[in-house]
Formats: sequence, C-alpha cells, structure tokens
Amino acid sequence: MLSLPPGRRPCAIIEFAKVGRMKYLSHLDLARAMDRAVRRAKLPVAYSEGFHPHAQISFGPPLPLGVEGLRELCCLDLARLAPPAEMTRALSRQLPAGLDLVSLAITDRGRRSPLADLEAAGWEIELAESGEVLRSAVESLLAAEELAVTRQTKSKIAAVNIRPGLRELALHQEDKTLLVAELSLRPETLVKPEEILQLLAERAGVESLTVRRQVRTYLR
Amino acid sequence: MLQDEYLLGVDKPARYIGGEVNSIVKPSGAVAVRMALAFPDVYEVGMSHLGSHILYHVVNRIPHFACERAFYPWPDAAEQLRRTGQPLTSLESDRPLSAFEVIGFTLQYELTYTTILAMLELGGVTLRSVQRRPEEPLVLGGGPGAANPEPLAEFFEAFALGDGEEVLPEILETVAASAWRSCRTGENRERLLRELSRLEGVYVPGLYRPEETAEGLLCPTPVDAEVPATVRRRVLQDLDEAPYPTAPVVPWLEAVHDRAQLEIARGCTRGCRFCAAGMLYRPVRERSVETLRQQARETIARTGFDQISLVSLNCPDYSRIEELLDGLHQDLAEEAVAISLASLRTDTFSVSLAERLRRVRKTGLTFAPEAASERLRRVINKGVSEEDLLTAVKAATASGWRRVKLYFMLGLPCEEDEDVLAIARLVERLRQEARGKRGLEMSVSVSALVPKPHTPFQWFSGVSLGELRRRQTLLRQAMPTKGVRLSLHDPEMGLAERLLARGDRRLGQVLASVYRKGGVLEAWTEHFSLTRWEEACCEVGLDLHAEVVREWRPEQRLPWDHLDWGVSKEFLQREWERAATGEVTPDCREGGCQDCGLARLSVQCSQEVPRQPQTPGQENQVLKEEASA
Repeated sequence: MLSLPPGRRPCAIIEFAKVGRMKYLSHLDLARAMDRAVRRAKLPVAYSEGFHPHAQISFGPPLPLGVEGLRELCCLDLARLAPPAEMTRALSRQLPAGLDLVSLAITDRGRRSPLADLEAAGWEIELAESGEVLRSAVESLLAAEELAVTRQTKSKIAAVNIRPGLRELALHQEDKTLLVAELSLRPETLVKPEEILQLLAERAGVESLTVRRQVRTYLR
Repeated sequence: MLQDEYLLGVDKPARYIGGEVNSIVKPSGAVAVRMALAFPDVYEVGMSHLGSHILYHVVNRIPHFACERAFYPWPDAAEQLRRTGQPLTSLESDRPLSAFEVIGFTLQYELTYTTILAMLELGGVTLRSVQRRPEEPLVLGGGPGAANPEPLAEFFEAFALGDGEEVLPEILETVAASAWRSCRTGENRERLLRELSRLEGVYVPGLYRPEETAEGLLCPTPVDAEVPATVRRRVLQDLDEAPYPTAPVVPWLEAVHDRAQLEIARGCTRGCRFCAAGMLYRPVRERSVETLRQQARETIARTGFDQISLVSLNCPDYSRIEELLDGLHQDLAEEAVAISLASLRTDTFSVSLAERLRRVRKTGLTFAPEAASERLRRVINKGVSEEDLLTAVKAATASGWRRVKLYFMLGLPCEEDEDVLAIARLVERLRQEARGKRGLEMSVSVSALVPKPHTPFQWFSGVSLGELRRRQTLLRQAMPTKGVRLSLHDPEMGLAERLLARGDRRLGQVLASVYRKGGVLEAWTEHFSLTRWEEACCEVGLDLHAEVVREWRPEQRLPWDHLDWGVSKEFLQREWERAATGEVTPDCREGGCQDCGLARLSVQCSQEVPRQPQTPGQENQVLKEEASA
C-alpha cells in the first residue's frame, strides 16, 4: 500500500484514450462523462468545499472536437487512499466504450496540479495529400531558423515565432501520408497543429491540406 | 446516421452518436418487435423527457421487444441527411425509422406536430396512413396530445390514451402475435388494426369516419358496430408497483434537465380549470417512501448524476414529503448529490419543509399565481389571496432564495383590463415588501391561455391576436422595470397552439401544408412563422384568426367527445358554469368528492390517498423550483 507524508493529499493520475465516436464529445461533455463514471465507480474522490460540492477532477489541455487522443490525462483528487488496482478495475467497468482507461497511478497532489506543467504533445495527422512537394515542405520547416505565424488575441493580431516550440516533425509516406510531430504545450512556446498545417500548405503551394484523421498520441 | 465526414461539419455532433451509458442495443435474432421511440424535437430536449425514459425501460425490460430512440436532427444535420439521401435512423442500431415494426411518437406539445411529419418523411415512412404500404411501420402516438389527436389522425395508425406502462406492452404483444408481423399483407395489417382497437385505451382513428356537425366540425363516428363508440383512457392503478427506469440513458450533451428524475406521484386534483394535466392524469397516485428511496439510490449508483429532482405535479402534495426528503438526504449526502424539487406549492411551504429545503440547491423559485386579481383566480379555480403569495415570497427570501419567477396568464375568461393591470401592481408590491436582506430578482413570465380539450375551458371562445397584443402592451407599460424582467410569450405561437389543441381532422391538411412550406422545430421561436399557418389554413378554406375565437357551446358535439379521459363532460360543464360566477371548487382530497366522473373508470380515487394536515388560511399557490440553468 502506498503511503504519503502526513498532511499531503493523494491524487490519481488517469491516462485514458478518447477514440472512435468519442472524438465528437466536446471537452465539457467529456468532463461530465468522466465525473459520472468516477461517481458510478465509487472512487474515493474529494469534493470541493462549500454549498454545492463537486468532485475535484482536472484535465489536461482540451482536445479539439473531432480529434482523437490515445493518452489523455486527468487528475482526480482523492479523499483517501485506495488500492490503485481496485480503482482501475472499478473505473474501467464504468467508462463508456471509446473512453478507455490506459493507466491509473497514485501520486502526491502537491500545491500545483500535476497537469499544470505539461511540456509537449505528440501528434499524428493523416493527410489526403502526398508527394515530394510535401516532403520538401517538411524539410523546409525543419531547416528554418524562424517560423512566423499570426495569432489573433482579443485586441490585436501579432506575429509569433513558433520554431522554438516545434520539437519534432516527420513525414511518413507509405500506404498513407502520416505527419508525426511533437509540439510544445508551454505557454511561451505553444504551437498548435493547425499552425504547422498552415505553414506546410503555404510551402507546398496549396490553399490548405486535407486532414483525414488527427490523433494526439501523448501528453508529457 | 451521419457518416464521419458530415458529423464534423455539424453543430454538437454528440447528439447523433448514440452509445450512451445505459442505452440498450438488442441483437436482431432475439427480438420479435422493434419499436422506435420518436421524440419530435432535438436530443437535449427529448433526453429530458421523463415519460420517454419510462417507456424505454417498460419496453426494453421485456426480452422479446426492443425500444430504440430517435430524435429530430438540428437543421444543419437534417440538411446533410437530405442532401446525401440518408434516412433518419435510431441511435441504438442506426436503423432507418422505416425498418421498425412500430414507431411511437410522444405528443407533448402542439408545435412539435409538424416535426413529427418531418421525422416520418426523413425516416422513409409514407406520411399518410391510408397511403402506407402494408409492410411499413405502424405509427403510434401517446401523451397529453392524445387528449385530442384529431389533427394528427390521418398520419397515425393508433393513439394510446393514458398511462403507457401497461398499454404499450399490450400493443406490442398484439403486434408480435399478429399474422402481419411475419406476413405483411394489407389484409393482415387491417386485421391487426382491428385487434388493436379492441385494447382498452387504444384509439384507431382509421376506424372512425368523420361526420360534419351543424357547426362545421368533423366529429369521428365508428365505421361499424365492432368498433368501440368511445375509447377509455388507461389508468395505472398501482404506481408503487409500476416499472421505473433506475438506469436511464445518461445523455452525452447537457440535457435541458440534466439530472436524475424521481417521479414521486402522478396526478393532481386541485382542479385548476385551465390545466390539462390536472384533468387528464387523475387520480392522484403516490409511490411509497421506501420504494422511492430505493429507486433514488439505484438511479444515482447507475447513472452517476450529481443531482436528483423529485417530480410530480405538486411535490409537497406528496403525503410523506418531509419523511422522503429526510430519507433522501440521509442516503445521498455522502456522495454530494443535490436534491431539487420540480414543483412546490406554497400552502405546504411549512417551516419544517423550508428547513429541509435549505439544503437543496437554490437556483430560483417559481410561483404560479396565474392571475393577479382575486376575482380572476376564482374564475380559474386557483383561489389564493395576495397575502399568501406575499407570505410565501417572504418565506422564500428569508430562507435564502434571491431569484423568484412568477407565472401569469393573459387571455383568461372574464379577464378585464383591471386584471391585467393587477399583475403589475402585484409584482410591484412583492418587489417592495418581500425583497429580503440581499435583494430580490424577479422575472415575470406571461403566457397566453391555450384552452385545452377535456378541461372546463374547452368551451372558452378565446381572445383575438389583436386583443392579446393590446393586453400585452397594457401590461408592459404598467410593469415596474427596476429589478423585474418581463417576458411575454409570443402570441403568434399561441395562436397555432390554440388552433391545434381543439382542432379536428381538417387540420391534417393544414399540418401537411405547413410542413411543406418549411415548418419544422416550430417549438423553437426562431423556426416559427405564423404566415405559414395562415396560408395553410386559407388553402383548406379556414380563417385561422376566426377559428381561434370561434364560439363553442356546451351542448354541441366536440371532435374529442369519443375519447373518454375520465373526467365527465357533465363535470367539465359544471366547472365551466362555476367559472363564470367565480365559484371555487375544492380539491376532492379536502372538500369531498366533486363527482368529476373518474369513479366510472372503476379506479381508486384520490380521496383515499391520505394528505398531510393543511395550515388553515393558506390557500392554493404553486411554488416551483426553476430548472437550474
């Protein structure tokens, strides 16, 4: 049995897949479905203080609607410790098909949420396009010192260099075209997959690329 | 349903994916009769409807029946289906509606009727029942709309009147045992419809011929002596023993009522003269505290909802409400499940109940005095004094509620300008005197009366659109603006509701025409257009505006006279006469039997259900908890 120093709060870090038709669940719908599964599984979840207590569950960065995730993360604050194997069994039984439990581990909750300091996300994007033009576009991105994209905030449109946040990029062209990337999640170097797709389209000389399937493969 | 490539292009695709927790998919081999339970509105609305959850359970608990859900898609998705030539399908097995043996529509609200036609057509089913091929599904309807289903008669094979728990399985058993199930000939279909018409509570409109009365109304008469002259509503005697869905389907999207629902009682005998529910669902039947606590625990365990709502027409009328609340708190507190009440009446808003309600979510309270003057409240049989309302609002603000919603109606019988202005005066008085320490937000919702069949107001001729608008303007100008949000219901939508509520079979063509002109999801203000209704009426020689203010005389034959919902026409007529003189009729549970006619149905009457003692001097008022946003 796991033990924590006195006064520390335990939490369960849950890795789960959001695949198949579950990709149509919005982040809010996902949060609701997870909350209900946790309640049905009777996990020893901690409830917030106050007049309308709610289960303390936090999530990693939201997946866009229509995008699948293989190792999504959520953090469940626990009121007390329970054997992880038992919790795993109970939660697996209660999660709907397509929201599949990958792992559950108990850790010290700490002051900050364990999900607050995620570094990067892995992406696999299947494209309808293929060919040499695309390959050289990828190479040109990787070779660039600086990659400028424009981002619109509430008040202004600003140019941002996203090259520092582009950690890995590779193109696999076999029976299908697969773009594999690791993109930063840190606020100062954040890169969105659609920004990479836009830059690739520009370099390939097309209006836009057609995404057949998009998967976030991991968060770390 | 929609293929992947289309789902990403529509709003809220989770509406169309199915596979929710507790949804039931049965393999083809084991099922004798498959029924589509069709709700003529979008997913979030339909998934809030308790009656549909009950019927889904009632059918699916029988091994050889399957019940699957179908909703109308939002216009963006409906357009995709039409454009790509795909049919509307059920969520469970993705079957087109045309591939079911039975399609059952719930008739909750008149303005959903054109959506029924849209669902049939999008589901690949021939619109009019006489034109349907023998192999096509039987289209059934049930719910409060079956009080007068005549406008829909030509699109349906049968209507079920009253509680569905028993009659629906009986209908499906009859279908399962019929020759039609395996051999879909026209003759077998005819024979099956005859058999259905022999079930108590089943009305097969095709076996009734419309006869034109002197007033120009079409009133159905049996085609031959084998067809029952009147169809009597089904009444579930023992609510406590009735099946109840403790594992309802948990919606993906936030439903309008996104919580567990616990039906504690059915029926109401207060006798408000405008209220269809109070007339159609008699007598009062209650579930026991023991059953309800068990059902609540099970429902929470199997859904994971964090809120449970007690449902009945008047929650504090439940004879053991305090004991029930205490028990539920005891059972559910540990899991932080909030308890809310769908409706409360202030005459039972006792100190001890207020104490218990301290612990429920205070999202807002709704009082429904319906009329602001004492005189008019006697007309509608909601005898309540202004002082009681004031006391109740004060009690609510003292217990911590800060938002109060008030419901009123315009266009009532005997209504004068003085009564309209009284609404503004009453609101101002409440605002002045009952604001409490932390202030009081008031929202005032004013609808227009829709006279409903099988109520005493079924003979009320009604108020014209112009006159309604004038009264609305009068009210808007008199209403205090500070701290009060006034919302006036669209009087044009009310007009179409009124037309359909008391309509006869001539309206079938009108419905079809409105639908052809694009009328669908008309319960949504943005999708409603009165012009379509006016034009469609013109096409069949009806003047909509004259029709909704036509004269109805108690001695005349009505298009729904052949449907016996329990309360007798004599009782309704007596109540109509008492309305004119402002005479209050007591609740039979307090004032003794009022001879409403229900006893003819050989059911146990409400009078035998014990009630909590009443505090004298506190009279009828309704206090509901607002649906939490």
